[in-house]
Amino acid sequence: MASKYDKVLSDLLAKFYTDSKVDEEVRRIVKEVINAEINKLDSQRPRVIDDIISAIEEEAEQIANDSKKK
Amino acid sequence: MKIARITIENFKSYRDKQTIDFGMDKKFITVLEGQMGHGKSNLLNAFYWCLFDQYWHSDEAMLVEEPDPNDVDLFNQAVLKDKAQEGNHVGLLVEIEFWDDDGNKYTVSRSHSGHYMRKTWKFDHESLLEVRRVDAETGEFKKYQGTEAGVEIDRFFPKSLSNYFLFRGENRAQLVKLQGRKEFQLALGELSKIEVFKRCVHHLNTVIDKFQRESAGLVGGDLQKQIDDALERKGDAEKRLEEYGEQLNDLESRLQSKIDLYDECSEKIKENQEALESQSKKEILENEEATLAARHTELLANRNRELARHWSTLIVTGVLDKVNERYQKAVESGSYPPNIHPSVIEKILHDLRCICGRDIEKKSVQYKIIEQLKSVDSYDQIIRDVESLMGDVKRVQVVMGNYPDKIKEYENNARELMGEKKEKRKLIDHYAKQIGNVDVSLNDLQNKQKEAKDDEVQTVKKINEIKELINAKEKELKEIKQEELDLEAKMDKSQLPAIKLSLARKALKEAENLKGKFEESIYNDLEKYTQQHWGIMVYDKLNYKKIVLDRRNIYFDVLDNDGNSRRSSMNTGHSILLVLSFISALIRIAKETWKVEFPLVLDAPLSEIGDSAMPSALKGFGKVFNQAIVILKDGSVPPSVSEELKGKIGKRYWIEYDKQRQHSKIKELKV
Repeated sequence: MASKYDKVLSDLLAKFYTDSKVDEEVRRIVKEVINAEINKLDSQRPRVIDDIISAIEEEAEQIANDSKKK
Repeated sequence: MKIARITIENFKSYRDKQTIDFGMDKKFITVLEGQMGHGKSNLLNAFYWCLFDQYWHSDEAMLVEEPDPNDVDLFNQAVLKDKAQEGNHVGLLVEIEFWDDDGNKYTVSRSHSGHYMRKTWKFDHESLLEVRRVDAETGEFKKYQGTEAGVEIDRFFPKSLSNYFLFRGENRAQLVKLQGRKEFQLALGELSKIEVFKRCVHHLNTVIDKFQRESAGLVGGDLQKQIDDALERKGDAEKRLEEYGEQLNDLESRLQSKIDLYDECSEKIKENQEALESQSKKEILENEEATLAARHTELLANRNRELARHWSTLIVTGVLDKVNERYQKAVESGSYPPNIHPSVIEKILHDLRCICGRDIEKKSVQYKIIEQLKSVDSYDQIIRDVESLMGDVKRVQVVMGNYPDKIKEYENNARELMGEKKEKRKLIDHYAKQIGNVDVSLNDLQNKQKEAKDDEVQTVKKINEIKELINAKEKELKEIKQEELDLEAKMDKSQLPAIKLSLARKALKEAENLKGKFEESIYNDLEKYTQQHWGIMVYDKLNYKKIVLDRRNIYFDVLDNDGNSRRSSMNTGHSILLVLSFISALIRIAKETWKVEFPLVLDAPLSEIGDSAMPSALKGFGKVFNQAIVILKDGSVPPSVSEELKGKIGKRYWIEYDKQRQHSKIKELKV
């Protein structure tokens, strides 16, 4: 069973991930970053800045491609 | 998690190997009692040392990290003295056994050793740490040593929390003040997963810097130069800000220690002044007591004199009655004056001497009158004497009539004096107790206090300087960041680097928002739980109505019914309970985050909470802590409290210092 703050955290994130006022790409990036940190917390994984960079790059490329198509 | 036992050997005042088992589950309270100076606080230090490699130096009022026995007295001094022979070895051990919430058993063992060489003890600089684990399901045994063992302990007992669940009474003021500090925030971060967001924000900032450099490289020319320059200045400013922050933190710690030292000196000066006042009051009272004693003695002598007078009068009354009887008979028979033969008078006087002692011859008027009867030479004289005797009879009767009242009056006065004297003695004893062992020389303390004040003033000055530097640097950093944004605006927004940068900035903003929201929920709970636990543990809340958490400074305040701050005027007992409420709230947050329960080891002057409030506080422990090891700083549990907590106290011990062996003996008491 999840702890109280796991629930607070997941509620907070769930609300954020579905918040249409925030750009979808931004939500995906934040999700990626936070999940990486939470997983790291559980698995004692070292910090990976590269994960964040590649997540942003992926989204940025998509935006760039979309704008080219337009 | 529950602590099952501690084993100590050669640590501070604990010489022989001894084990203390702790109460768990329903009987979750363990009480350790004993007089001051018998080794109770050394026990708390055994916890500090074993779990965190820390040592609370009470004389210096500081927590020493990784204490080196070459500098700090960790070993039992008597053992070192007895074993001081070339080539001898001595070992020191503290072992703590605990169970995690899944029933796995852990034993943390920290040891040290020393060798006697060239007429001196040489100790290893570092302690040896070992953690042994027995799996609840499989029974599998695992052993961790050194750093690996440290990591294992940190999973259960985070070092940043050592000050919280190993609670020292004298540290309460520091604890409350520390709440706004780095240590507290670190502890809260570890406890509540706020760290997740902090790291996200940190990473995103790093990524933004990287993207900025990358973008600058792609655009080239002046813009690149300007961006690189801004980045470099930003890096410098951030580095400098970090340095200033560290300096500020050190200065604030220094300031706090000086304020604490000043307060401590004030307390001691107050104690000394009180002792001096008590001394003078005691002397006045002793003089008054001596006067009362003299008055009492005099009163008793008067009473005795009066009593003797009355007794002699009583006897004389008998004689006079007889004379009166003969006189009346003589008058009635007509053979007047009465025939009083000298031998009768002689017999009466002899009897009087026998009963009242020879003194009556010298002192009693009545004796003289009777004696005169022997030498009468005429009837007229006899008649006069007898009639005078009749007057005496009446006077004697009056004296006899007054007798009980007068003696009673003396006795009442004497009793009142005794009561007054007793009251004075009580006060004298009270003052003597207050004076106790207080050293009534004030000069050193006043000098020390003055030095602390001077240092405090200097430190405050330095803090203000650093704060000004920080403000200036923050302003500069803000300007650089704005400059960066302005430069970024000049870049082609449709290009990939600019898109990446923009995305990273937006993500940072959202991560910061989320961090703020999550922190807010934790702070709300911290405030709410502290208030709830305060409600559970505090018997009489007086006018301390509401506990509020100042989010900015992370400082708890207590408001009265009118919303006025009462924190600074709070008494010691309530102050201890406020800190305990806050600690238990932290522990509850930890439990709700990590599902780990922390025990509380408490070394505090609970008597300051007050006898009437103590049962409520200790009973409340059961609701807010999962295990409590209470080291009573000041003697023993009052019998009434002990009776009320019968079902909750699992173990009870008495600690007594054996002066000859220089050893604190732990004796288990009946619960």
